[in-house]
Amino acid sequence: MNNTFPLLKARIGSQVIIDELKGGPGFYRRLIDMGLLPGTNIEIISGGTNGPIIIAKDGIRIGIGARMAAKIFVRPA
Amino acid sequence: MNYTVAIAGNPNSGKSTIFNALTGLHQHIGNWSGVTVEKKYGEYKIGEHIINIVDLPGTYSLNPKSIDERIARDFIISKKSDLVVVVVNASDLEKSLTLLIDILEAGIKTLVVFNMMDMVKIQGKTIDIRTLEKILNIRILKTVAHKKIGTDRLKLSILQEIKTPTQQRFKIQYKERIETTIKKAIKYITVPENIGVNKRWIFLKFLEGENILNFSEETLKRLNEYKKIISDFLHSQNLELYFVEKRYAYVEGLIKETVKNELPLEKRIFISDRIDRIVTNKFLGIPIFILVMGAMFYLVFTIGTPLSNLIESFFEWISVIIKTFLTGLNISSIIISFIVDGIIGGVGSIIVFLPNIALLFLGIGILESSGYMARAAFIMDKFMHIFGLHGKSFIPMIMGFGCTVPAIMSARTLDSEKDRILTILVLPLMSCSARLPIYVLFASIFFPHKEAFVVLSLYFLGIIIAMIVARIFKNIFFKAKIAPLIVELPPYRMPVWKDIFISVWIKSKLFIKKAGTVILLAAVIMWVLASLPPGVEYASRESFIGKIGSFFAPVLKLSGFGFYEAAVALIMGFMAKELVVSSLGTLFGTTLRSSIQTLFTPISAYAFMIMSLVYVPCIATIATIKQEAGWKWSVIVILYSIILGWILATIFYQTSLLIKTIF
Repeated sequence: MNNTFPLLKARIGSQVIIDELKGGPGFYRRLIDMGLLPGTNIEIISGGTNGPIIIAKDGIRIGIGARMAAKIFVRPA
Repeated sequence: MNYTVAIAGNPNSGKSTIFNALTGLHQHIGNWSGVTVEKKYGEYKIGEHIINIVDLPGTYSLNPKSIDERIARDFIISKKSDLVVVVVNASDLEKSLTLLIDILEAGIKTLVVFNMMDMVKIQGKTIDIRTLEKILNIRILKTVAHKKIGTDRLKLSILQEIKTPTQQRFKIQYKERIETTIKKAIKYITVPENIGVNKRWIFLKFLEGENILNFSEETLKRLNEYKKIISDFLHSQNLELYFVEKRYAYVEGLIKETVKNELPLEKRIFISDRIDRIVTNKFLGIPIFILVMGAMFYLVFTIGTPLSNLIESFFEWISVIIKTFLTGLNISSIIISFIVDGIIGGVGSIIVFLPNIALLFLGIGILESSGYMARAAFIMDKFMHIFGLHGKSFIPMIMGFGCTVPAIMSARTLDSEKDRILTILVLPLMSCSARLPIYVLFASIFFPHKEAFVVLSLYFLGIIIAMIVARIFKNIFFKAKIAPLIVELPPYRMPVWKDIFISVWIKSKLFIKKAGTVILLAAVIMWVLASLPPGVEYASRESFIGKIGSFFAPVLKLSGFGFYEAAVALIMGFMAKELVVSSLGTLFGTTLRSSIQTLFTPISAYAFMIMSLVYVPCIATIATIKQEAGWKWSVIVILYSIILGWILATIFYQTSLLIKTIF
């Protein structure tokens, strides 16, 4: 799939699907704890464009640091 | 009968609110044995039964990643409780249910509370609770804990559930091959008396990499053979991921079956998100944060100071009354001095600040309860990185405005050891509430009507110094990368006033208790040292205390306060920062304010405040640092803080003098 991009670059208000998590086991585990597995549908609430980002996953809001968001690859929903 | 009930759940699930609703003011704070994680427990009475409640640290799973989570896990699987109440955040079912089915699979007796049912309504969802109860073979209660909806019924249901003998048999069915291997493997497992879980779960956790029972060499060998069969079968080395994903998949299925969304996703824009778009905005985030903090301190003073003045007048009034009364009784002047100067002067001078301190805790409580505090970590992440700190370091730093000791403990939320120790090293630079009286006293004497501004400047100065020190320590000791940041942000909501008032009440009580014990004792010792040797003028240079102070005073001369009273106050401050003010109170008695006014100038007063801010944290803090990070770091903290405090106070004093003479 060629239309994937890092979560970091997602626009506020857009909806994306997590495509791939490009990080080590610790990174993976933290995301799993938050229920952010590949295939999850999320919405960008605030931040982004190279800063930390707030996303919505169903009822909850999760803040993700910029370096982490750079390693989460998403595709448009 | 006495029963014990543990409350478990994700962080932010409303666990503490449930705990508060159950126990009210009947709660205690202690430590989990061996570690310094805060342990909250309490009790409530129902009929002739007493139900003891233990509030476990928040956890996402039974595969612990931090000490907090390990404590929660170990308590849940021990037989220490008669029932585990699992608090589920109903507006975030996926994460909560994953923890729940992990607990159910272990075969632990549980009662489930679906909290925040009001949020579910706002989200436009309906949850088919009956079906969930049937599938999972559990009882579910609905609550909106912060509005006290359903909490009375919970009290009764807990007792009913304890008395109903049930056997939890829930399990997720894995692939045939895995199930048969599990059956063979568990023959080699014996569960000890004090552990209340089934063998199957112990083995599942073993597959996930948790050796909970510390198996013997021999058992370990056998179990590893079975583990290999399963990992060969799944073509995977990371079995933990396999089982975690299975649990998630199971939960997803459950949710599909029982939850209906009435509103499409795009229509669910909450007020909370609107607020977040502004409050966490790239450009507005930090200015808004500074504004919020400013407003908090402004309120602490505009409301607190008149109340403090009232208490101060009260102590002055009572001093006069007692003095006249005792003089009338012909009691020797030494005893009168002991009571009036020693006790009332020492303890009174610190009790005066109770309103300011209570209001500060109220402010921190509001920030926490409203959901803003969690955002602070997020907003400050990038900024904190510049100085080598983690976004999550910020919450302990704000808590440090209350008291450094719990702040150091709360640094446990940082996953990386290096980030955690670095945070601990700079936490003493956050002005704790015990330093507030020093600022307020000096600011009100030398900078009237600008108190809030002066005090706020010291708070920010503390933050700035902490940042710079962090950067330096990061370069010297911790050259590793900072751990990535991911935090759950609870939705904004009206603060839960009951929780806040309970917390303010408990902390104010502690403060008064400290004033009545440690500070009283110190005041008595101070008074004795100030009155001896016999015949000496009270608190004069010739008294013992005067001699001790005079010994150190020359060192402080360059900083602008080279007199023995200041030296004594600072030495006492090492015991507890409140003692800086209270020992001045004991030394000067009723002439506290006028004496300070003659000894200090505005410049030396500010230098003294800088010194009080930076120099050595109190003994309790040092002890906590030793416990949490080791003695090496506590020694480093003592050394750097004393040297830095003196240097900064001196630089400030000397340059200010220089500037003053030039202009």
